Amino acid sequence: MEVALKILRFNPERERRPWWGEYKVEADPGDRVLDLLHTVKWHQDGTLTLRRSCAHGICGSDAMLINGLNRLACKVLVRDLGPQIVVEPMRGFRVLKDLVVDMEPFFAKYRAVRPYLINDEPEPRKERRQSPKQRERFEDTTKCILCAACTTACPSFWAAPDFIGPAAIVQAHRFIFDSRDRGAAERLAVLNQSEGVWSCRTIVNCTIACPRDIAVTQAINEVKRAIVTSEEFIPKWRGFDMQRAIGTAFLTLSLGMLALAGFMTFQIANHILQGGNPFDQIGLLILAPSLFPPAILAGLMGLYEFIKAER
Amino acid sequence: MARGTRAISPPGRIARIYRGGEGELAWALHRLSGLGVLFFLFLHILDTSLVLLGKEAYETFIGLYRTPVLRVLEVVLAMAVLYHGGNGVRLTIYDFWPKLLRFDRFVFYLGIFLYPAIVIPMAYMMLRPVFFPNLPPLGGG
Ligand code: SF4
Ligand code: FES
Repeated sequence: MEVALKILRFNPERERRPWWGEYKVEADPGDRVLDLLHTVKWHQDGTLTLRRSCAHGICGSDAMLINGLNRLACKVLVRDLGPQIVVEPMRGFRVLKDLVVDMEPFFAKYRAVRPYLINDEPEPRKERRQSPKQRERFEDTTKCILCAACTTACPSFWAAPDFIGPAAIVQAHRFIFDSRDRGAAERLAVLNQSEGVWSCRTIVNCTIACPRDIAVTQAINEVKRAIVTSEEFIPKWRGFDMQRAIGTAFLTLSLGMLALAGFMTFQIANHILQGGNPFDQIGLLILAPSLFPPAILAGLMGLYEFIKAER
Repeated sequence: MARGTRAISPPGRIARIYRGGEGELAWALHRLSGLGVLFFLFLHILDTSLVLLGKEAYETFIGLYRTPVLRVLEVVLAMAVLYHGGNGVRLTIYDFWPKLLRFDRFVFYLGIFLYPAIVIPMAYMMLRPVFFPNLPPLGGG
């Protein structure tokens, strides 16, 4: 099949503005976008510049904006895109040339969360042991290949380039929840700033963009939760337990809603018993049943928090 | 793979929308509804402060709210408040219960489903007295 390939080209040393390069490429549906870029570079226009290394989705160097979505060029197939493909560099970084962007700010943020094991305790005679369950806790975030697809898919990052970004938070998550690590407090302090996790608006573009299928937004929210529940950031008075406090809040909310819904049901029943038409109370008739699902949800969440606190 | 031809197109418009998920739409609407409600707040401060100019000035202005056009805008306001609040609750729940994000899309569409179930009867109740003043009032039986 013939693919019409459009690539956003820009050489800041020579050109004032980016331009669209248009190429016609013969391709197999099983080809990857990276193969098309290679065809262009090797046979049509040697000046096309891109970064890639492994070509097998593991080094993270060729994330780019393909048909409006951040993906790895070496992982996405022509079959899944159709005969028209538009390729742009990732957004939010300075373009060095064509599809190559300046990743230095990205790696500076990566270094800021201290992405290595921190533990000053005396070395054990053998290895530091960890149960499968403790390991499971951060399994998801070990898969990150630092491609920056998540960070450059984030509207909060486009608006505020100082935002530390999902990728750095994912990397921090990997160590914060590692039972062998003792540096959580330092990392949480870095992330507990307005440019840290609190710039996240839970838009979830990062999770969709991640080529390693990491639940990025979930990891971010777990870090947020770790901050608000950690002893360093909440002065804990004796016997106060954040988990149970959250559980109690949810249960109270649930009971409140149930009481309200019950009261409304009572009103309607009363109205009917007195020979009234239930549809006169249309407002109550709609509100009462619609209160039950959120009440039950909040109740379940409250119970869940308590069960977790017990364990 | 055969070779092909190359054509240079003029520098077109570069700014194209990122194809984000439902969450991006929800976020954009959240901002929009937030701004809308903020705007109304200013208007509201203005109209209540008219009471300083006397009873008449205040009542003429408040009377405007009973005209059909403004009543429709009021419905829009209520919709914005409801959306902003509802979406805010959704995000807060995610903050305390990150695992629910695995079902993010389901939760979003659940909201899409629940929203009209509340908005449509609400709009009906708000608009009925203005557009059908001859009907008996609701709930007055
Ligand atoms: S979390 Fe996913 S998208 Fe973000 S840098 Fe790591 S691998 Fe790339
Ligand atoms: S080239 Fe290594 S991830 Fe694509």
